[in-house]
Amino acid sequence: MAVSDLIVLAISDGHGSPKNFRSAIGSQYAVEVACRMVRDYFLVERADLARLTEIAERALPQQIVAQWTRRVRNHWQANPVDRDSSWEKLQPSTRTEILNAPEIAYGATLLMAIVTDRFIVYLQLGDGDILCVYPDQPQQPQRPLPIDPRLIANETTSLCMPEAWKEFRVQLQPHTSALPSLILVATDGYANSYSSEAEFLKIGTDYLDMLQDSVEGLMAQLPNFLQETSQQGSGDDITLGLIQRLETDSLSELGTPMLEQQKRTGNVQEFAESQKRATLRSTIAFLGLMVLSIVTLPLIGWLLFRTAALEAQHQEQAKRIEGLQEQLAKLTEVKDQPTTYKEAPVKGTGKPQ
Amino acid sequence: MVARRPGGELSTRPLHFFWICDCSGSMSVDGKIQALNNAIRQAIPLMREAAADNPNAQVLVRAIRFSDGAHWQIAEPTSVDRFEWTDLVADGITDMGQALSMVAAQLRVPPMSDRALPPVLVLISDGQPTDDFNAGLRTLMDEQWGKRAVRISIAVGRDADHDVLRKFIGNPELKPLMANNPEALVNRIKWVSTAVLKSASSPASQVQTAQKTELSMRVPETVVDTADDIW
Repeated sequence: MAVSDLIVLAISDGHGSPKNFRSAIGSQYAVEVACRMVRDYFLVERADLARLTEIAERALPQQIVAQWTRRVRNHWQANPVDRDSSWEKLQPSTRTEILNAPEIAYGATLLMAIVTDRFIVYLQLGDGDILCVYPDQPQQPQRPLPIDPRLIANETTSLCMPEAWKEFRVQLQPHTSALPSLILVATDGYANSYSSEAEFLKIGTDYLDMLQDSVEGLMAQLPNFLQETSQQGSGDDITLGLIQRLETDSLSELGTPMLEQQKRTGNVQEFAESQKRATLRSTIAFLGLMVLSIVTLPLIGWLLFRTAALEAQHQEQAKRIEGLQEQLAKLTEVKDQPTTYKEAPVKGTGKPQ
Repeated sequence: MVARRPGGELSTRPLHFFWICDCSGSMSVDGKIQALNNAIRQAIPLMREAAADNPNAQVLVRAIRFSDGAHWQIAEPTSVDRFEWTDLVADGITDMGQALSMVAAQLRVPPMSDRALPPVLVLISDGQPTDDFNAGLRTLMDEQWGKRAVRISIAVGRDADHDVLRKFIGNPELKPLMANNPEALVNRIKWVSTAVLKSASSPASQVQTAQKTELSMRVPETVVDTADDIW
């Protein structure tokens, strides 16, 4: 059975170490590559959940890392480092390390939530947080992925590490299990701004309440929220993405993603980089939401149209076959025999499985 | 209506700074212990300035001395704004291993928080350890925060055990800082109190490696000290 449509939320955080001096580019490539790979696999692949799980846990991380590495190495070749002032400040041993593995200069994390009409995939490499808020326990958001105990003291795993695909944490949850009301994906600067894990997890129910009040209201205030959090907390850049499940018809259950970037280092697919003034950031975030809606709604419309067209075609074929059967019966003057034909599965029915 | 910011209480990130000081009898010779006391006291305003440059890091200072056994000179993590130095007195042997074990106990979770910045450990010694240094170092490095701490050592005088001090650092790119006179000791202490503190205060993530946390600044390989070597 194929996935008919999906929503992808991808966030990548470049590293701040001097040797990762091109991590802004690395994080941009990370979200671009990741979103493309997700679409290539999950929209094309017609497979059962076991096969999709295998793809999510192995093939997808492998291809994300491989394609990302290819892109950053191409960028390295096309952009000689001797034109980069950051290169001069590095120690000789670090330069040697990077010359042997240029992807180090582009190091970045990657966090994703992929929502389809059949399952949700959570995928993470490096620090940051993915939280799920469930309707029956809004006060206790859950982490769909296990915490990596190595990621303390500002240390993180990264796309630039050898065999980085093995460091991914992945979870595929079919829709047979409970669906979250809200998915939050954030870079590590967010959690590091709170005095404890418990204080950080309070964002789950707070954001859910605000979204249920007014999406536009939240988007307008989000830049200020994140700026205040960073200033009084970690001082680090914060990127936050939200996917809300809307309680309407089945297609809308896929929800609407919202994203906000407090500063410039995170990279988010389909959103422009945030600007310095809070009002402009709000405008871009709102326009981004509109862009996503504009992209998503025609896709849904196209799928519905395609479904209707295929159904009409199917009915016409069925009538034609019926007509041919009648002719055959008359020509051969034999008793009617049951005719069986395989009904091809129709793509893009838009109906939840 | 302006909504309340989501989430609970906000907090800056703690950065634990440890002075680990040799108070063995040899430190009483040629004014070394007085020079150390003066150097740390002079460094306090500089530490405050460095901490003020990154208000999102809460610098908390402690000090431990070792001679016959090891004892906390300042046991409570003290905000750098309120940190005052109490003079050390030198007498006894050099139980460095025990000092490292006691520091290791403070780097466990709890009392350490998993959202803290990498701690800074500064070991200052003029001689050779008289207890099981390797056991103490192993205890320290068995702790996740010990392994990820920024570890700096200062060799006071020519008799300091550089092998031990290098093992403590655990990074082949960093060598023990040398101080063979009071001026040099002041300079090394000032560098640790400023450049190292600023580097460790940064919230920037870095790729996990087998080695300890990297320092994002150059170590002073050559420092012009005008005074003659006396230690």
